[in-house]
Amino acid sequence: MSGLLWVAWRGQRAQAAAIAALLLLYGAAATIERLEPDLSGLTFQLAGLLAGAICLIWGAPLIAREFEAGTHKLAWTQSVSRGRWLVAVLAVAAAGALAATAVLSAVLTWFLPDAGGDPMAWRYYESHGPVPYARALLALTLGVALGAVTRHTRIAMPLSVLLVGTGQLACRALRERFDLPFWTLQWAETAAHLALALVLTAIAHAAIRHRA
Amino acid sequence: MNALETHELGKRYRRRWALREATITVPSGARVALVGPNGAGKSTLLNLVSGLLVPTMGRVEIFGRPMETAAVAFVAQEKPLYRRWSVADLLRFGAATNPRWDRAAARSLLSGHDIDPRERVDRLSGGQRTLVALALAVGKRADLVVLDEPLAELDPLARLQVMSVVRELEATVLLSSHILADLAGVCDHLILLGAGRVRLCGGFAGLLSSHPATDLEELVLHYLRNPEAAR
Repeated sequence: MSGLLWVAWRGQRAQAAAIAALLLLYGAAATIERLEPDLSGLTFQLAGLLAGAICLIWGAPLIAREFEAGTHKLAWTQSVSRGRWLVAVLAVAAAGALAATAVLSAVLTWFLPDAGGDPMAWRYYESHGPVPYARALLALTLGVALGAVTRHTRIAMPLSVLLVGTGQLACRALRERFDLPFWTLQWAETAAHLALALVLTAIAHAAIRHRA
Repeated sequence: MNALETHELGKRYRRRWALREATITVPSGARVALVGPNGAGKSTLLNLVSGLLVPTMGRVEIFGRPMETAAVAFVAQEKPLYRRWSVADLLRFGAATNPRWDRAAARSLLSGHDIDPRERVDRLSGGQRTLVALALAVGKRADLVVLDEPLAELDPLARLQVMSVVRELEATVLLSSHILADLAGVCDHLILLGAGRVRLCGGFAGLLSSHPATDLEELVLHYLRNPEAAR
């Protein structure tokens, strides 16, 4: 399995570098925010965009690009089943998405004072607790599933960003309807995101299982 | 034992059958030329035999066992490779995804053709890329090697190099081409497809002795012009 993880990592190095560059931009934004108090809250607002970037850069091309380049014919005719191949590829991508979320979370907590104080304000709520991690995994698997089903990055990339953005706005609207304490809401939302991510993973697997 | 058997194999894309009722037998050690006009179902048959496609009906057996991708080394028509990887990366990919990986065999094929493992795949010529794809197939050490149009779009020198590699493969080989002349010197068996059906299947000698044709070319042309003759 370790060899297969190397294969997955070799295929995703460029995506990891792009997300790392984005994290540097977040670091720069946080630094600017500290120097310019007028810009308070800027980085928290931008933090919501990370999920979109993960599905755009990392999730959507993951399988769609294999179809476009024809390399799925190489990957899927070795001695490894498509299921195991998908597990390795998703494991590396998920590790990257979670690591990126952790880095951003560290930037927000260490460099910036809590914005506003109200824990239910979306800027704060969406950047704390387990929700941002679950959202990153959901965004990733949404991109992967759309890429596997449509087989085209030019369709999967814009569509997945659109859906991730819509989903985030829908979550904000739903949260206001339920008057629940911070942690109850956090865990409920996390569980829903992770369940959906599992469904999307199953869809991606079904989409590649019998296709050439 | 037969290296490959298919029984009533069929593949349908929506409403069109790309291949139907294909029953073929390939004895162990044979070098089979799969020929037929474009659209006859050659790629579909090879994709079914390599496990890339799942048949709509029928089944594939490799050395008496149900098809599994570990048993077949397959080079697809476009010779797909990760173009931004180095050749050495691809060899590592082969080692990571194949338990019987033969590093020495793959390396010696490359060094025999002066291909530097440090080179990036997208900087190689078409002939070199085909040889890298063949090195991956050789390293897998499968007992059945399946090559889809390995000579298409290659210059004459690269064709010779590829054919000499194919000739030296220590496996049963099934390769397709729409130019019979390319294969006559290497192969000893023939499968002829026309319009999604098997028209001929057998050893060169046996086919020629049982049909009124003086050479393979004539035999193939006869069957392509008279599709009904096969039944």
